[in-house]
Formats: sequence, C-alpha cells, structure tokens
Amino acid sequence: MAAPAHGIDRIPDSLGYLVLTEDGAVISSGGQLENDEVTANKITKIVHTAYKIPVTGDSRDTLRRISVILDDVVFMITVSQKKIFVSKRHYLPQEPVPA
Amino acid sequence: MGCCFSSDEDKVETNIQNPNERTPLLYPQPGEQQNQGGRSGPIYSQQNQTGDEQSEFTRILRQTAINVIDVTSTESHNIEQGDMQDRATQYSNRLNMVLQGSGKSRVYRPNLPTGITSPQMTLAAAPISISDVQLITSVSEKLANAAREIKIQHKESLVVTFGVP
Amino acid sequence: MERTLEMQLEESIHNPGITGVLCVDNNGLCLGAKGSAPLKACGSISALAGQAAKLANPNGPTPVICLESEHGIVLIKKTDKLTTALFKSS
Repeated sequence: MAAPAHGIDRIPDSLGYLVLTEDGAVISSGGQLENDEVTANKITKIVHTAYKIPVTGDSRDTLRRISVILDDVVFMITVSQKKIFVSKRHYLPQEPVPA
Repeated sequence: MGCCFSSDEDKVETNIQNPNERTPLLYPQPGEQQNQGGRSGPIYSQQNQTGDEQSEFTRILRQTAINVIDVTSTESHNIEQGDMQDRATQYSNRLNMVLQGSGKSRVYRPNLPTGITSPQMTLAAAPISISDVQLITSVSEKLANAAREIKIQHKESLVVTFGVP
Repeated sequence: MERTLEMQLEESIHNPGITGVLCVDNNGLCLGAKGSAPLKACGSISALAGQAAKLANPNGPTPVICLESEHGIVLIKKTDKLTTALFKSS
C-alpha cells in the first residue's frame, strides 16, 4: 500500500491495522481490518471520548494509549501527528495468571 | 348457440332479444327506481375527488421540486482537491466562529492533540497485565451487584404545594 | 441500600496502586466515588464504555477499556447498567 503505515503493519502477533485521519477516514489498512470503515468509525468515536477523560490529576500527563480488550483480542489505539493508529492483536499478557 | 346451456337459456322467459354479457340477470323492480337516482350522488362526488387528487398531486410535485436541490446543475464536481480542502477549512472556521459567538464553548470538530511520537513502539509494547483486567472485572461485578440492591424508597410527597392557605 | 455500594467502593480503593474509583449509571449519573476521581468525567466514562461495547460481540462479555498515560492508568468496564472506572498510578 502506498500510504504510510509508520511500521505498525509489522507489529508482531498483529491481526490487522488501521491508520485514520482525526475524523476517521482510512489512510491505510491491512489484515483483518483492511478497509474496515465500520470499525474505523467506532474507534474514532472511542478516541474522541477517551481524550476527554483525565488519566491523572496532572493535565500535562496526556493519554498515550487506549486498549480495548475483548476476550483474547485487544485493540490498541494511539494518536500521533493528529492521526489515529490502531493495531488489532492477540491478547497475550506476559505474566501468568496469579493464583 | 354452441353453449352447453343454450337450451336452458332459451327457456328463460325474458322480453330481451339477443342477450349478451352485459345483459343484467336481475332487473330493477319499479320500487327501486329512486336508488338509481341516488346513484348519481356518489358518482358526482367521485369526480370531485379525482379533481382533488389531481390538484394534490400537482401540489406535491411542486413542493418536491422546491425542496430538491438539483445536484447536476451545480459546479461542485469541477472543484479541485486543494480548493475543496480550502472550502472545508473555511466552512468549519466559520461554524466554529458562530459556535463561539453563541456562547457555546463546544468546538464543532474536536481536535486531537499531537499525541505521541512513535506509534509503532507504543502499539508494539506489552499489553496491560492480566491482573489489571481481573481487578477491574471483579470490582465492576461487585459494584454492579451492590448497585442492584439500591432501591429508591418513597419517603416524602413528591408534590409540594406553595401558597395554599 | 447504597451502604453496600459505599462499602464495595471503600474496599476497591484499598487495592495496591488504586488512587480513585468511580461508578456511573447508563445516563452518566455518578452513583459513587472514592479517592481522587474526576467527577466531571462521569459522562465521558459512561459514553466510552458504550462505544467500546459496540466493538464486541453483543452476546459476549463486555470489553475492558484501558487508558494509559505516562504516570497513570484508567481501567473501565461495564457490568449490567453500571460502568466502573478504576484510577491507578503506575
């Protein structure tokens, strides 16, 4: 694909990726999320809402990453240069389940 | 007559010669004469109705013609990409100006911050720990159970009368 | 009554690293809060849980949403009609 994916297409155990403009238009996509405009729209709404929630009391401490965990799949979302980057990955937490 | 019942028909005592498909089988009795006169009533009003339908139809057509924007007659499809973006910015700027002027702080297009510098690193980093997921799941369930127990008790009258002596 | 909810909120804030907890109903009304939780974010938290649920299978479990910044984490999950947010420092 000609549009830049900024390397997020090469993330290990990735199932798919999306690069969106801030209003949700698909710039680049691949894998399970290829041309998935429905998911793109849902994620755009999530991003805009999430930025209204202060993570800590410090206003300079801005949001770095949004994760939406659905069973064994996780949508990881971040914003860079006013673009939304989404990576759909297998949810493989490193630490074992604490007994 | 080649009809099977032609012989039967001949026996029918009618004063009508050469009956055809339009010949009524029953003849109006002399007492029903006024009914025939009454029949002209509905016919008259039906004609009126068709006239109303006609005018209603033309009215709807005219209204639709007013409401519809003829896209083919506009020049929008000749706009260059850059020109289009300029106009989009101009429109959203104007809209934001109006929104700000009306005392509403809400901006039409929510602007995302610049964000982080390396999206790939952030997205490739380890996901949140399973213990955090388990913590929020258990807390959420406990709180939902507790919230289910909340029942609103009616204590005071909801209607308060003012100024009644 | 709401005493059970108060007790559960009190209990959850004693988990390690938790600085605040919020629970919000479907309309964004705050039903309870403990610690340093931003009350003005109640509406956004409830809305976010609803939007994230649209990514999930409607018959399956609701998703866990995690917001990460440099110094903190917010964990959000909706159960029934109640959305819970845990604020954690990292």
